[in-house]
Amino acid sequence: MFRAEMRKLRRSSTWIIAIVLPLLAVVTGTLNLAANADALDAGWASFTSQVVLFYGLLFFSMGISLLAAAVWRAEHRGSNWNLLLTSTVRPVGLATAKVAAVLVPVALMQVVLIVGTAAAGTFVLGLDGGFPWQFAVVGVVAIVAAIPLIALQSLLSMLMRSFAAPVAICLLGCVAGVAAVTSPTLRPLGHVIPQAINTRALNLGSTAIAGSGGLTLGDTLPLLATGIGGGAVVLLVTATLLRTVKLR
Amino acid sequence: MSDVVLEIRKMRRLRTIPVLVGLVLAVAALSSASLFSGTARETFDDPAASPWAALLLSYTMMAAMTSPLLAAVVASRQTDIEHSGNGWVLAAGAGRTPGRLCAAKLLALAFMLAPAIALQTAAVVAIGVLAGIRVPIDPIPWIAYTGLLFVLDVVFCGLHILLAARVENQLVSVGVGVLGSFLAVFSLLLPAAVSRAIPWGYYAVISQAGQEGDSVGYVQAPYPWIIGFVALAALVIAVGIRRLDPIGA
Repeated sequence: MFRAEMRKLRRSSTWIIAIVLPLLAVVTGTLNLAANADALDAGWASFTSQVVLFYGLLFFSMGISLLAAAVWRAEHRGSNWNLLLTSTVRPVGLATAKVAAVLVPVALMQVVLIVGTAAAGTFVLGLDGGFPWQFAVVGVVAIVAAIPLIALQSLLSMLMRSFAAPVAICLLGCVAGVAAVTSPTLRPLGHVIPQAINTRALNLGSTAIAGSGGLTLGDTLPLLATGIGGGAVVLLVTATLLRTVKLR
Repeated sequence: MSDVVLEIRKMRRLRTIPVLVGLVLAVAALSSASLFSGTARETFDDPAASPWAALLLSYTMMAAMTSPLLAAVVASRQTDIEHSGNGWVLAAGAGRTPGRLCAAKLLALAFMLAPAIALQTAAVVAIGVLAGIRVPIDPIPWIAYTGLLFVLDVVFCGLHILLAARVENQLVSVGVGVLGSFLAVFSLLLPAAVSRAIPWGYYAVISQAGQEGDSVGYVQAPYPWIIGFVALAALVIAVGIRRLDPIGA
């Protein structure tokens, strides 16, 4: 099942998003640091914070919504939906295969982000000291923390025939997520809104957002637990809906 | 005109209006979020601190971050239905060529965007007043920014309609919108010369407020550049719409 999903993905243009989006984050972060070297003088800490600032607030989540919509798009064409329902694979298996198929380009996004940041910091900006390994760990934690959003966007893209509708819903979630992360009163919502969980994970140890937490067990473990637990809950909902609701 | 009315009818099932209203109100709320911090409150009675210009700058940033995506999403939804419902052939059979259909889509979306963006600005100003800004507002930069934001949104809607009509895979049109949003918000931090060279950079070029040293104030937007960009984009859209006609016609 997973292999079939990967074959479908290879024929779509998803790889462009997976590579261009994080590269843009690195390029814009590099330009910003080079232009404001006086204000952002904390070396690697300033650089990595600038790279993930907009990427973490909006574009990582939006990239996920696009990838999830692309993965489900094939099923909404022609009579593919009926074909899908006649498959012998159990609904949970199908829902998991879709989430796993999105996870691959999401992981690629993170690899491009980390390698790009290391390369730009070392060779373009010539920052002192070695590349902070913590940033690579944050990148991996963000992949796990993204599972609830991947599962949710996969569910929305399954329910809606339109490609852009789930993307629009994700944008609304991002706006709510930004509010949850930046406002002290709304902060509890940051543990529930999947887009905000992404922002918090990517900004672990960041100097750009106040109170974003550090790469400690106390801050990281809850994020990982929410990632796996939240993802599992949404997967079960997806499988139940596939089995019980007549979607077409 | 009946073409435009038809497109507006299609929007009902696409829920374009709830999507637009939801997003513009969310953007307005987010733009004004900075008003509720302690340091911002201290500036509300101080004309020298120009609290309204600071709010307009915050609004410009949020609008730059979300508008290219909003344009891509509404344009893609309005155009994708013709691919999935075989509407190109159906409309051509009724004498409506793909180019004419796309022109009607653009007009219908412009018709919806005008009140939506006016509502967005009105909501930002209303939140500013409710939060307690006592300094009188200078309406001209706000009106100018709202008008320019509307023009840019229509321009990008037009470009996205063309892209969504040409390339059936909507990942391309919406994906370009996401990348455009990134470039738009980042253009606010780039030198003006660079922003003017990037199409989405014009979301920063139209800004009527800017940072001058430590303070924020109203600035004059470079109108010749904006007019030049809009004229060029209009030409591209006009040629693109004309060239759509042979397919399916």
